[in-house]
This record gives sequence, structure tokens and C-alpha cells, in this order.
Amino acid sequence: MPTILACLPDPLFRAAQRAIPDLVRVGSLAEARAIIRTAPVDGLICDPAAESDGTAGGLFWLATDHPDLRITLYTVLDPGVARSLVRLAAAGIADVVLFGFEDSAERWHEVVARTAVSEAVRRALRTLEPVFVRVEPPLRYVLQEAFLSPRKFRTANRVAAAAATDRRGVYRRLNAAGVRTVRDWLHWARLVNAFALLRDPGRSPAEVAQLVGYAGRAELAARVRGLSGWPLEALRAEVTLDAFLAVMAERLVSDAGPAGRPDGCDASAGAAATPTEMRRRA
Amino acid sequence: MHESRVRARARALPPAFLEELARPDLPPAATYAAIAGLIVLRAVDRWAAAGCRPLDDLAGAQNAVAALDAGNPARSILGGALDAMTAPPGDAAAVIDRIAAYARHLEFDARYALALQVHRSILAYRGFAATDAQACESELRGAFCLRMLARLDEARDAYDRAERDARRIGSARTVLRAALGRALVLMMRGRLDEADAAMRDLETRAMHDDFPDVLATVLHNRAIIAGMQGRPARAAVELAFRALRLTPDPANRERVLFDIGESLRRAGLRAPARDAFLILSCTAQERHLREHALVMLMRIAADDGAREMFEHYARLIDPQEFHVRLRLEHRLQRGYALRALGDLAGSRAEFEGVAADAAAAGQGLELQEAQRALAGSSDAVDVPAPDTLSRLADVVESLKTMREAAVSV
Repeated sequence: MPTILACLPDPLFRAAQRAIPDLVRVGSLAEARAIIRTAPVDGLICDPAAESDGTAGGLFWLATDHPDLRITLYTVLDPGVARSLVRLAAAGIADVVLFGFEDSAERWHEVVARTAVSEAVRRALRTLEPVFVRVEPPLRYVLQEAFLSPRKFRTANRVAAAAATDRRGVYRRLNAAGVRTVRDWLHWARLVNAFALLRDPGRSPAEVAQLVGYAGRAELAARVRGLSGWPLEALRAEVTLDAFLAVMAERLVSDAGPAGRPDGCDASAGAAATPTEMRRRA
Repeated sequence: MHESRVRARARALPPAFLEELARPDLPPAATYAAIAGLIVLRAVDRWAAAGCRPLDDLAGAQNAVAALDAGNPARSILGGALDAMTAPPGDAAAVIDRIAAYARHLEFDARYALALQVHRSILAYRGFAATDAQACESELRGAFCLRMLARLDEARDAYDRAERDARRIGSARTVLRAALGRALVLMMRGRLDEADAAMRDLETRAMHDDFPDVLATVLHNRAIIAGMQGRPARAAVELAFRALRLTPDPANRERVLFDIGESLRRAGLRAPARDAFLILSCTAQERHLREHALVMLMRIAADDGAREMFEHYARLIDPQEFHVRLRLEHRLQRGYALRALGDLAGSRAEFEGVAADAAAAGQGLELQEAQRALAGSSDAVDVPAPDTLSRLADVVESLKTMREAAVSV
């Protein structure tokens, strides 16, 4: 379960807490900032309308100082808030839950799941940066979006249509950027999300499979083993994010080289054994 | 690119709806309408991100839609979209069709910025929810919205993209419609000869490929250009009447009727022109057409010297709600009307205002007309030739019958 702070007025906090009981309440953005400086925090839920200056300025600074913090806005929609939301979206703070309309338990669970995968997805995108610089938009955006919404694209044809090109065009550009297949790209996008969700011992593999777009536990386990080489249980218990991303870079990008690896990350990093060692043990 | 930027692009609230909601003077009904549209679009986003699987938690969105007036068409359209999202997967096209219908409703209501936002959402669903044909149609409709918002460079680029997409999916009809849109952008820039040449070429292609609806639109626009070029108004009326016979879509027929009214007015036949505008002010589906008809009725009243009627129509018009092109047109017509009523200072102030605003908005056509008006010329109203009335007798009689039917309703 990710650590999520909530800087919300009473009715909004109570509504959010019903769906996320582990929410940590803070009295102000200053208090949130102090906690974030000293302890690992994954996300922050706050109401831009509750800012004393009414301009949501504190949120801009918080987002600038902590770009990796996942900020979700939870608010009652009115004209003043709408103006703030326009400005915050321009600054990249665009995750919004609207009070009374969108704050169902399912929506909050989605927020928690997105917060849980946030770091893994961010680092996966960073790892794949050498690919992105070699692929022009809109295909670049579609490839990134596959990691952010793993259930969205199921086939190469859909990726091609979303990028306003054809299947052959997608393959040509991806191959030029060193990526072997679109299909593997889409599966790795799901597996990165699954990897992060499996960290939470409260989530069953079947639930994780459903969240990332697989039919069930068996399909998830088969994909994990087929693409990464690790058994599902080992992925959950032993493999570090560094090791997982290193294997992803190695298997997804044919000429990844050192630039294709995340900073300080290689397949032997962390406590986990490599897939080959794992298979040998099994 | 940093992940938060990617995320912002992928999950931002629809900004046009937020900007609409941020307007301090927004009436409550419009606020509810904007909230319902925003919430449903967000639900569609979540549905699409979930691989177009049915969503369970749509109660909030259903409440937002239920808050709309029973007479608001958006209520049934958006409600239909929510129903389609709870249907089994595989019905993605039905959801997109309803969202496209919502965009069309917004266009009818002259909310072009909101309609553009909806079309852009549909384009973002290309590949997993929207079919190529749906996306191509949204590109075209989005270009139309950009044209109405006077964002002509963006409109031209959008027509280019629509044409490329149409060629890719093999839709000859959409290729022609995109080329027609580009010609209309030329017309709005005031490059009438180039626009007319493009239209003549399109007329040949539409006849050759047998697309009567595209041919009708081309003829209609040739009629408009003929009027703008100062060619005899009778020719424009005849072109427009040919177009009216070929036009199946009621909304398009209303646009053609408007231009027939305008051509008749330019031909000096104010009584049948008034009939056409009266019909439209009562019955047109598109709000901007109803408002434009009122502007023209105000102008005709002034040309008739009927000051009381002029003031009556002027009171009915609220230019604050107009989009940029209609705002300029309203001031131009008001300028001519004041001149006809002898208020030369008021007339000059209107024309100067139009010239400044049109220059700022890059509206070549309105700028040229304001400059001509400031130089003292009229807007090319013909003195009716002796045979004009007899040659257009059928048109005049048809309009009279239609007006009597519309007003009696």
C-alpha cells in the first residue's frame, strides 16, 4: 500500500477516507512538505480551493520541488476552482477527482493503484528514453501512453491507428529505434505495472492481472515467465525494480547498451537472482 | 519527457470545459450543461483507458446528466453515451457515435470551443475506441469548429490532416469535403478568386464522382462567393436554389436558405429576403443561424427606414454570446443599418471597431468589407433589374409559403 498524504477539508477527507482507510491526514501543505522532505511519500491528495491565497501557488512549488510526487486534486467544482484547475493542468498537475461526481470507491482504488505504479512507470519511461528520442510524436506519445494506461492498447494495429500510421510504419520506426516488436512493448508496459502492484501483499495476482489487462493469474504468470524469465512468485518476493528494469531494457531494446539502462541499474543489481539462476534453482 | 508531463497530457481535464466553467457570468443552466459534458467526457476517458470495458461506477456521471433540463438534447445524448459504456465490450463505436452526436449538439448551440474539445477527445481514442472513419469525421468537424473560431491556420492544418487520413482509408467523399474546407478557409481570408477556382474544380470532381451532397455544398459556397465578388445577385440565387434542391440534410438546407435570403437582399428584393430570415429566426436548428437571421432582419428594417422595427430587433440581439465571426458581422450590419437611418457617426464607429477587431483576429474578409464601408461604399446592393422579380418568381412564392407555414407554427 503506497503512503498517501491528504490535505483536505473535513467533508472531503471523510469521503476519501471511506475508500482509502490508510490515508495520512495533514493540516496544511507546509506540513505535507515537511513530511515529504524527511519520509518516503508516494502521493498527495489535496484541494486547490483550500489554499489560503486561493491561487494554488503552494501546489506549484510542491510539484516543482518534488517532481516525482504523485499529486491528485480532490475538489468541489465551481468557477473559482475551474480557473485554478486550468492553471494547475498547465503546470502538469492534472489528476483530478471531482467531489460528488467521480469520487466512487472504484475511482479511489484507481488513484491508489496509479500511485502504487507511479515510480515504476516513471523509471521505466526514463529507462526507455533512448528509444523515445528516436521516435517522433505521435507514435512516441502512444508508446508512453501504453505504460500509463496498460489496458488501452492490445495490438500493433491499435498502436498504429492511434499514431495515425499503419502497422508497417510502426514496425519500421520501432525497429530503427532498436525495439524488436510492438507486441513485446505492450506486454512489458503491462508487466511494469504488474510488478509495482505485486509489491502490495494485499493484492492477489488475479486482481493484479485484471488491473493490467490480462485474463487472469495464469496468463500473467505465463507472460512474466515468458518475457522476463522469472517465476511470478519470485518476481513478487525477490526481484528488485532495478533488476526488473534492466532485464526489460535488455530484452525489449536490441541495442540498448549502457544508455538503455537506468542510472546505476544492471541485471545483477539487487538481491534477486537473474532469471537464468532462478530457473536453475527451480 | 518527464512522466508527470506525459501524465498531464494523457489525463488533463478537458480545458475548454474548465474555461467555460470559469466564466463568472455563466448562467446556472449552462453551468450544469458544462459540468455534465465534462463529467461524461472524463468517464469516457476512463472507459477508454480501461480497454473499453463496461464501467460500474457511473452513478456520479448519471447524476450530472440528470441535473440537465428535460428539454436539453444533451441530456438524452449524454445519457445514451453512459448507457453504451455499461454495455458489453465490443460496442465502442456506439459510445463514440454518441460523443460525436454531443459534439454536433454543441456546434448547433454555437459552443465551438467545447465542440472542438469533444472532437479532439475522439481523435485521442483513435486506434482503440474510435474507428478510422469516426476519427476522420472528427478531424473534419474539428476543422469546421476552428474555422468558426477564426483560427484559420489551425483549421487549414486540420483539413490537411483530414485529407491525408481520408486518402489512407480510401474515402473519396471525405477527401473532397476536406478540399472544400480548405477552399472555405481561402474564402474567409478574403482570397475570393482562389477560393472560386478551387470550388469550380471541386464542382467538377463532385459531379464526376457522383457525390450530390458535396456538389450541393460546393454550389452553395459558389453562390456565397458570387455574392461577395459583387456578381449579379440573381446568379447567386439561382446557384443557391440548385444547391437547395440537392441538399438532403436539414441543417445544411437552413444554411442554404440563409444565403438565398442574403442574395435576395443584395438583389434589392427585401420582402422575400425578410421571409427567408423570418423563417430561420423561428425554426433554424443552429443557434448561430437564428441569431444571424435576427441581425439581418435588423438590417432590413433599417434599409426599409422602419426605425421602430430596427430597435425591436436590436433589443432581441445579445452580441456578448456571439462567436467572433458573428460578432464582427453584427457590427458590420449595425454600421450599415445606422448609416441607412442617418446616424453617420454611430455607423463610422461600428466600421472602425470591425476593422480593428478583424485585423486583430486575422479575418481578411470582414477587414476588407469594413475598409470599403469606411471609404463610403455600400455592401453592393443591386437595384433590381426589371426582369429579376419575374425570373425569381418561383423562389419568391416558395419563400412566402414557407414563411406563412413557419410563422403559423
